[in-house]
Amino acid sequence: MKVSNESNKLDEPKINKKRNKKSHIKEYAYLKSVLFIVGLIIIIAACDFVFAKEGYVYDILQVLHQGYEVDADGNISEDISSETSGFDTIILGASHGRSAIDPDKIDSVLGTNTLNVCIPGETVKDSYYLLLEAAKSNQIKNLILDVDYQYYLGNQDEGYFEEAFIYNQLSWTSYVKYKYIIDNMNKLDFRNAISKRDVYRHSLCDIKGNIAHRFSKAYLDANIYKLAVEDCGGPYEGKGFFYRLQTDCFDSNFMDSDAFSYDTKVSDVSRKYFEKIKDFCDENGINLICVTSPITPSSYDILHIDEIHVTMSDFFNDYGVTYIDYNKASFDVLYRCDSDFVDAEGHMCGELAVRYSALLANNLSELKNNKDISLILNEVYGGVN
Amino acid sequence: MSFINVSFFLFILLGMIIYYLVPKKFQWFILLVLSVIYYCSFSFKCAYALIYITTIIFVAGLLLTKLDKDCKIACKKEVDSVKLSREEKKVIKAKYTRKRKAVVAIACVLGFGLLALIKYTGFTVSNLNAVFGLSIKTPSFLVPIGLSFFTFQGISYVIDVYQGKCDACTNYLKMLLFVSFFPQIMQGPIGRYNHFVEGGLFAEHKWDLRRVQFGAQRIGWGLFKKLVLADRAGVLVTAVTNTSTIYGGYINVLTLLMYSIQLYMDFSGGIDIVIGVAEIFGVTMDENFRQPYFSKSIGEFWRRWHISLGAWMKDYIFYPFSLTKAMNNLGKWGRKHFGKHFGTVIPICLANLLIFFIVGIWHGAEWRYVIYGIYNGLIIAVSAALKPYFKKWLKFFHINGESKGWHIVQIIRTFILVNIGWICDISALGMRWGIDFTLGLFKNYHLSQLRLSYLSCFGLAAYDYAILLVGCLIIFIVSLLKERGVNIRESIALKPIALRWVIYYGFFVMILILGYIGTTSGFMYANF
Repeated sequence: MKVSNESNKLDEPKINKKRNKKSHIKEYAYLKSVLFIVGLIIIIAACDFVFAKEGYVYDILQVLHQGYEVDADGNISEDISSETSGFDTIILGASHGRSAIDPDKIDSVLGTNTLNVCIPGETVKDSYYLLLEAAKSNQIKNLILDVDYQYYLGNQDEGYFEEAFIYNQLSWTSYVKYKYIIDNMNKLDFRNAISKRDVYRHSLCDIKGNIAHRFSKAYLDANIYKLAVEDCGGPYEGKGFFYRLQTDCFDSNFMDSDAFSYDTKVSDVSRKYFEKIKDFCDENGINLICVTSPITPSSYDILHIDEIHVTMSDFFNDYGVTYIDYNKASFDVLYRCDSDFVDAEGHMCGELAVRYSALLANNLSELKNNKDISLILNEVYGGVN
Repeated sequence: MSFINVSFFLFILLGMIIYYLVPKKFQWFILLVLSVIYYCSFSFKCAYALIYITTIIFVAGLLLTKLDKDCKIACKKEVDSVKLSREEKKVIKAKYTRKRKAVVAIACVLGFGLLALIKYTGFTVSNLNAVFGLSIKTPSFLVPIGLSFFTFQGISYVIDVYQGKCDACTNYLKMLLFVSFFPQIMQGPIGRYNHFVEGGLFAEHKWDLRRVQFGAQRIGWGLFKKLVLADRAGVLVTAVTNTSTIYGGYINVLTLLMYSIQLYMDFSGGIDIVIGVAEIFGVTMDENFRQPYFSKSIGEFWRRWHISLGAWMKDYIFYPFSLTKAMNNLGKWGRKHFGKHFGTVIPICLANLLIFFIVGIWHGAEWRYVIYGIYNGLIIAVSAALKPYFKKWLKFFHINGESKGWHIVQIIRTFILVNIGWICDISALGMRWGIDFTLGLFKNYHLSQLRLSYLSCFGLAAYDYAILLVGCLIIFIVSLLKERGVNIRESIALKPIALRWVIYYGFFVMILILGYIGTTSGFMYANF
C-alpha cells in the first residue's frame, strides 16, 4: 500500500502536466479560431478597399452623416457651426427627383436646410432606410418624397442581388445597417451582407482607380463637386442636385417596360415600406409630403399617366398623406415640353428643374401656412383634378 | 431560407450555440425545433405533409413491431401443454407475414399516394385530355418542399423495420426529426433510419471544435462549387435553352458541357453544405456523390451520382422486383430459350428499366424525364445483355480491358452518354426543341463559334470562361485525389498553419470575389 501511494504521488505531477498541456492545446485552438475570424474580417475590409468602386451613394451618405456639405473648393461654409443640427429637410426618391428638385430653391423660400438624397434606382424600401439613416444624425423636420410610379406599380421584386446597393454603403457603425440585415435576412445574400460585393470591379485599371480615389481629398471631404458621378447629366449644384444639361440626342427608347402593363394597384412591397415611412414620420413629428415630378409630356398617353395619377392619388389619400402630382400641373402654371427633358422616361433638364423647384417651394410654403390642399391642387392642376 | 442568405448562417450559428448549451439529452429535441422552424420558414402550410408522412410511418413501424411480437408469442404458445408443430408454426408465421406485408403496402400507398396526387395528377390529367380529347380541369396543388425526399426516406424506414434492419422508433418526435432533419430535407441525401441512428442523429454530442471547423470547411467547399462554378455555367445554359433558337455545332456541345458542370456543382455543392451543416451538429450523413464523372459505365455512374437515390431504388425496388416469383419464372423461361446468360440477365434488365422509369418520373412529371429514365435504363439493360460480347470484342481487337488507356476511353464514353441524357433535362421548351438540339450536335460547326467575341453573346465574358476552366481544374484535382483515397480535409489539417490558412482564405476570397452574381441563385434540386 505504502509503495502504491508513493507511486501515485510520483505520477501526480505527470498527470497534472498532461492535463495542463491538454488545456493549453485547447486554448491555443480557440485562439487560432478567433484569429482566423479576425483575419477574415481584415480580408473582407481589404477586398472592399481594393475592389469596391465607391460612387455617388457613398458620397451623398457622407454628406448626410456630416450634416453639412463642403463647397466646390472643399471649404466648410461659415454658417456651419457646432450648434447646427444638420439638415432639417430631406428629399427622397429616385433619378427623377435628383434632377428635378433643387434644394436651394426650397431653402430660399422655406428657410430650411434641405438635402436631396434622391439616388438613381432608389426604391421605396431604400427610401425608408435612408430616412432612418438621415434621422440618425440630423434633426429631420420635413420629408419630401418624390414618387416615381415605376417604383410603386408593377412587379417590385425583393431579394435580387443589386437591391442592396444602398445598404452596402451604410457604415458598420450605423444601427440602420444592422436593422436592414435583420429585416431582410431572408433575402439578403451573405456576400452582400458582409461586403460591398455589389460594386466590386476586378480589372487592374479599376483597382488602381479605386485605391487612388480613396486617398483623394475630394473623396475624404465628400466633395461631390470634384467627384465623377455616373449618369449625372450635368454639373453638380450642391445638396444632391445635378443640373442636367439639354442634350441633342433625346433618348426616346429609355422607357420602363412595366409602363405598358400598368397596374391599378400599388405593389405590396412598396406599400409596406411606404407605411413604414409614414409611421416613422408620424412617430418623429416629420412632415411628409409626396410629390411626383413632371415627366416628358409626350409620354403621358403612352404611360397612362391619367390612370396612374388616379391610382397614386387614391393610394396617398388612403393614408391621409398630401400628394401633388405635377404631371397634372397645367401648362400655365408650369410650362414644359419634350426639349426640357433628356429622355422619354422623364429626366428633367436643369432649366425646367429650377422653375419646377420654385413652384414646388411655393406650394410647400402655402401648405406650411395652412392653405387648404384642395385649393393648391386646384391652382396647380388648373381646375382639373 | 436559402443556403446563401444571411438568415441561414445566423440560423446555423444560433442553433449551434443553443444546441451545445442545452443538456445533451435535449440536443435531439433542439434539432427537431430547428427543423420545424426551417421548414415552416418556407411554408407553414406544407408542414401538413411532414406530419402526415411521419404519422403514417410511425404507426406502421409500431404495428410491424407489434405483429412481429404477436407472431413470436403465438408460435411459442402451447396447446394442452404441447408445443406447436413446425407446420402449425409455419401457418401462423405466414398469417402474420401477410398482415405485416399489408401494413407495408398500406403505408406505401398512403405515402406514395400523396406524392403521386400532388406531383403527378396534373401530368396524368393533361395526358388523358390530350389522348382522349377530354377537357378535365388540371388541378393544382401546393407542393410541399422536399416532398419526394422525405416521402422516400419515410417509406424506406417502414420497409427496413419490416425487414428487421432496424427497430421501430417509439418516440413520435424522434420520428418527426428523422423525417424533417433540416439540412437534408430540401435536396437530400435520402437517408436511412439506421444510418441516421448510427450517424448520431439522436445521440448526445460534446462540443468538438475540430468537427465544427470541418463542417464549416465543407460548407465553404459547397459554396465555392455553387457560387463560383454552378451559377456561372448556368448563365450560358439558360441563354441557350431559354430560346427557341438552335445554335448547333460547338455551341450545343458547349451547352451540354456547361450543363454538366452546372448540375454537378449545384447538386453536389448543395449536398456539401447539407453534410457540413449536419457535421457541425455532430450528425454524420451519407455521401451522395463519389466523383461521378470518373465512371466507366452508366451503371457505375448511378452508383456514384445521387448515390442515395440509386441505393434506394436498388434496395427497395430492384432486388424485391427481380426476386419475385414472376421474375424467377421469366428467368427460367429465358434460360430455357436463350441460354444461361440471357436467362439471368432478362429479369435484371426489366428491373433496371423499371427503376429508371421511376427515377425518370421522380425527377419530374414530364415526358422528357420519362425518356431520360428509360434512356438510362436501356443503356444499362443493353450493357448487361451484351456483356459477354463486349468481352469478346475487346479480345478480338486486342484491347486490354484493365489498362489505364481503356479506362480513360470508358470514362470519356460514359461522360458522352451522360451528357446526351442531359438533353432531356435542358429541354424545358419541349421535346421538339430537344430533338432539334440533338440534331444540332451533328451540324452547323463553325470555328467562329469558338471566338470569345461570339461566346460573350451568351452572357459570359472571357474571364468567366477562365474562372470556369480554373475552377474545373481544381475540382478535377480534388476528385482525382479523392479517387485515390486521399482524405483531403485531413491532409490539409496536417499541413503547416500558414499554408492551411492560405488555402482557406483563398477559397473564401474566391467565393466572395468570383462568386457569380445573377438570378441563378436557387438550388436546382430544391424543388423535388
